[in-house]
Amino acid sequence: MRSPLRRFQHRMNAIANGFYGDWLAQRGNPLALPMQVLQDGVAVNPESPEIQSPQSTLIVLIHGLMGSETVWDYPEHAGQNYATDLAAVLPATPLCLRYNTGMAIAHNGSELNAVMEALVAAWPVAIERIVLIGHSMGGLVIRSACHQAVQANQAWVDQVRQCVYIGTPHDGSWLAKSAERTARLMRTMPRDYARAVGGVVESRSAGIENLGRDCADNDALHPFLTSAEHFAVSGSLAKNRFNPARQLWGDGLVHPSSAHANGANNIQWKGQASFHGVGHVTLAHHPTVSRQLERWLA
Amino acid sequence: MKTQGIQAADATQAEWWLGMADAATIGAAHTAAIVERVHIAIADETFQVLSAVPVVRNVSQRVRSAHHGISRFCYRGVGLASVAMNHMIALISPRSA
Repeated sequence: MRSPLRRFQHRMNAIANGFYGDWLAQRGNPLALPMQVLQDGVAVNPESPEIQSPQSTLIVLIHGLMGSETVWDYPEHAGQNYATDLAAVLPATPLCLRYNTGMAIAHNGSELNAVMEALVAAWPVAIERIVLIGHSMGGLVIRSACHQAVQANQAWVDQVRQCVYIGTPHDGSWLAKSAERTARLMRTMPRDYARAVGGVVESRSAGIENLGRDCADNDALHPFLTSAEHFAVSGSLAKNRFNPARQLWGDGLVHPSSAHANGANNIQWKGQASFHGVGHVTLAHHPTVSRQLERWLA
Repeated sequence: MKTQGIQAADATQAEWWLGMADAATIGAAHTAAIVERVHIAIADETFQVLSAVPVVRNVSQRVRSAHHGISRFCYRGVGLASVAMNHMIALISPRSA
């Protein structure tokens, strides 16, 4: 169990990395998080994984912007998450990823590709199935990693059977888009104080910048892996599906149309689910979502 | 073995606080520069109005010079102090060794 100070530091790290992670990494600041695979909160060396009872199925949870592996934990049940629930049914080895969410999505995709290649090659038993579950930006990192793995003929990607995207902004996030538009507008204003404030809004990480783009003009957005099944999960603040709040703000950060990639014409979902009254962060640790994942994946 | 564990944990703690101090001091220097810009730009709005009034024009121009000078001195002082602290942090940081 972590001390309150450790929890505070952990949270501050995740937030600092989300806002300025690329800058922190460039400065060599120790707050910049390296990409790590974790089992039960302990880092696993991908080149020589020491795993308790390794299985031939891997379930990897990948958090979103300003998040960390703890976002997956059910409230009051640290260490229990969607991967541990599924592992009890499948069986499988549950893993979490921790990474610097301020880096560009393509950069994190490249790192995840390298980590997975090393991990699968060194895994004590032959891997038969990999399930990737991404929350928010984590879903875009999955897309990027799989695309780069296909491009580089990496072996691990052949074992990816299912990808689940939970509240993933495939068509960008309305909040990040609004910030980008506000910054652009303020930079063109005649008053210097407005331009200065616009500069502050504009000084955000590459990761946030990637979330502010539509799929049409986003270099960071890679195509879906054609050999795998894909599932989309969205949430909404409003319980009633006709509530205007759902149309305006979606789950608070991501609109349902973006979570279901309505702007992308190259995706055929194997399964889609919407959860009304479940906000963006709660989507990562909600029992109803867990039951849906079991129906799809178990 | 136990002692090594404690030392490792302390080193991580020290690194975290040094990293936070590095980010905070650079952030303070940047913030001082932005606040200076905003402060002077807003003050100029008022001084421009005053400069259009013939009775107070001369006085307001002198006040404007003094105001801007004192403001710049203060903000840049804060910025320089932050940068100096950042250099000190870099000197004691294990990564600079």
